[in-house]
Amino acid sequence: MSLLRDLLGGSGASAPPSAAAVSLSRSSASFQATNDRHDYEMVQLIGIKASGAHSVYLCKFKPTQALVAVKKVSLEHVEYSAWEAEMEELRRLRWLKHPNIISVSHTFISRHELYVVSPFFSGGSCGTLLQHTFKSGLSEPLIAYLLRETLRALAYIHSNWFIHRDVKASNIMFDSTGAVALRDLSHAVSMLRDGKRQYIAYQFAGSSPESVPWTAPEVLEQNLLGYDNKADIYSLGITALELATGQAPYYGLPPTKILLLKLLGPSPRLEDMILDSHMRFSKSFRTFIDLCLNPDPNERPSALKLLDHPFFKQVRRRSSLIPQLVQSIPPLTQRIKRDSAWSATLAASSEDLRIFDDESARSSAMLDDQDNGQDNGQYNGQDNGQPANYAGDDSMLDAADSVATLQPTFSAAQVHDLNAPELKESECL
Amino acid sequence: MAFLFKAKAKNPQDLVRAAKDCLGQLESKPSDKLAEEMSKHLQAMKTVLYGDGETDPHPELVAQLAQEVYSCDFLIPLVNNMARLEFEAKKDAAQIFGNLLRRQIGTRSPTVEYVCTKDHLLFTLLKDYENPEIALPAGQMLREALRYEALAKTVLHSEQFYKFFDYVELSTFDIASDAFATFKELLTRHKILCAEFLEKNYDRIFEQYTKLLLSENYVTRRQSLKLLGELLLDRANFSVMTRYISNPENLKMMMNMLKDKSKNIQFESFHVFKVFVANPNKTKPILDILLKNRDKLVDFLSKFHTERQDDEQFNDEKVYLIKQIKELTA
Repeated sequence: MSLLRDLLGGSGASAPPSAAAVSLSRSSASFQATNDRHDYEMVQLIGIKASGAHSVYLCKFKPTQALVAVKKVSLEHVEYSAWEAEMEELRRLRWLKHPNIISVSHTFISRHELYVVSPFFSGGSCGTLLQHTFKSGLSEPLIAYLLRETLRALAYIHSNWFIHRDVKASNIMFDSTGAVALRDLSHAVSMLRDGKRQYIAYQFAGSSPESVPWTAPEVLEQNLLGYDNKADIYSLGITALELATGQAPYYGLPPTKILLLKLLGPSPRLEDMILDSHMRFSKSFRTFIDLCLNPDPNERPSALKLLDHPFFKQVRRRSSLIPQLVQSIPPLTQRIKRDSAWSATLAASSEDLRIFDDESARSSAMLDDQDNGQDNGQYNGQDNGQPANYAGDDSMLDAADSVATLQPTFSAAQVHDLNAPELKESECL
Repeated sequence: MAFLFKAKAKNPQDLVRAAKDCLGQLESKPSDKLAEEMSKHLQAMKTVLYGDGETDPHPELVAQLAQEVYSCDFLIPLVNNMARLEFEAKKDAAQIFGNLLRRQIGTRSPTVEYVCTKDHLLFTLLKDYENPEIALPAGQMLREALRYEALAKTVLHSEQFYKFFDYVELSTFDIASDAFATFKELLTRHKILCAEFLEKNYDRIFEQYTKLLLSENYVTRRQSLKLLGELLLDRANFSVMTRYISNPENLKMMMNMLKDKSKNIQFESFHVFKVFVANPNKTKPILDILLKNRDKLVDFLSKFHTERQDDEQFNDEKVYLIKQIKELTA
């Protein structure tokens, strides 16, 4: 374990920041987080979750001008169980503190909204990068760098007896300083049960159907043999293929077909996806992928072991690959794709925008600037090539729903003769 | 397994003693080096208790370690110095504590018995909610302890219990919600103990609880209202429920909440309001209020959350309440 910590850059040794003065590791300016939502000036909406209850904003923290990502969860629009899941994820994020895992700087409640402040990753996610800029994949040195950083996060998560269960390119973030971080612990599971350490997990992963291409066969199988943290290694292997080719294998196939292919067929290989792969990619990369995608979980090396794989020899100590990459692509806030579903969700949430920051919401530029930057698929409706029953279309329905359910709230309030100022407030719901 | 103890501690006893010495030094003269050393001790202890990932823990070594923990009172300095530990070590401390608590010899739980005799440990952990740096690991340790009735009883019947009414409203959301989780655990896990406690301290608790229900903080209101519904509908709390629903002030509060601007608050308060109406032995003041508002209530309820068509139980209950209210007589 101590070896692991040394390897991971002594995360254990660094003094934990006090909650009063939370420093943002990713931005040069550290800041005194406050509970006043007016201290956070909204720059742009960068993501919306299907139901419209979650939205992520790029914000400027006024006292220091630092850029931060602020997730707003409208608790009035979520069931109590979803709320508890949210708290559970926050607890995990507080428990798992590592340079390669997105951290939570601060959380606070204002009215009926929960605000979660995190460092802003200016590069966005690798998923967005593949979707909009590098549609046919990234170069090997870049992939090696991204995967190594992700593996460090996984080694740490596994040493804390968790399984991430949702490793994919769209959950790997990067910024202009070269920092890479894994995010979304909402599907993570603890291997600690009743004070004992478990080696096998049986819980259904509960991830969305979009994640099926990345999910390990033994997790999908849901049988009595269960699965362990090697499931993450499989997902990392699929992510490696995704980064190399621009798209995950099995992408766009129905989940049941994917399941069959994974259980019966041979594991996907780089050379099957790209004909001239031996020209573009080294042998060590191909063997790395094969190791990760071994159908037998016990044959897949651990995250810690994989960090020693020859594939990572090419990673330089001070790599400028990521900073160069970020410079070469348009800023996240401009990598925009117009999409009707996105506009619909946005329109549905415009009510909320006004509450968040009156001035910035009023500017029409706000509403026109659309971006799925941090989130593709999961946060917005514009997933290309997805079958119709995927989250893509659901988000539209949900957005419409949430508008519909809002209506009766107000009319009911009026009928029951609430006084005027209260009514005004209720519009903010 | 032997390689684990190569460096400093040869066996579990030595390991615990070395860790305790280290804590003592850390307490008097904190330094990064000592904190680092302490982290290593705790990791080694954790490995003895949980196994190293390849082999299961060795029962004999676990027994030796536990014995030494009790005899040299290791848990006391550990809990007292939580804030001086490194981040990862705080989590290790919580996991060591959790594992030891669950230790059983036949039907006995030696660690629980030990903590019973050192109950200030629990109050130290409780007070840690005031320190954001250790609130979450300490909260986890406290909840582990409260799984045991004897320990829960100690906390429930203490003056410190009432601090929870402040902690659940702390400004940092995750700490407040962790405190609420512990609060809820205390009031719901050991049914008979909780019922006795609520009955005995009814006035004081519900005076404080009402403040939570009327809080400015949306989260506090929704959480406490939901918990109130659960408490009142639990059969073990029958006499507490009877007392609660005979008080007209409580009924008025719920009727106002039915009209709250938040749909969720409305919905949760419905589940408390229904108990007042369904009560076959309504007190006169309750009956008077219901009679006075009979027509308004019937009208209100027939329009109440009509969009919840799929919730069969809710709709049945609503129909039942409307019928009950219509048939009310003085």
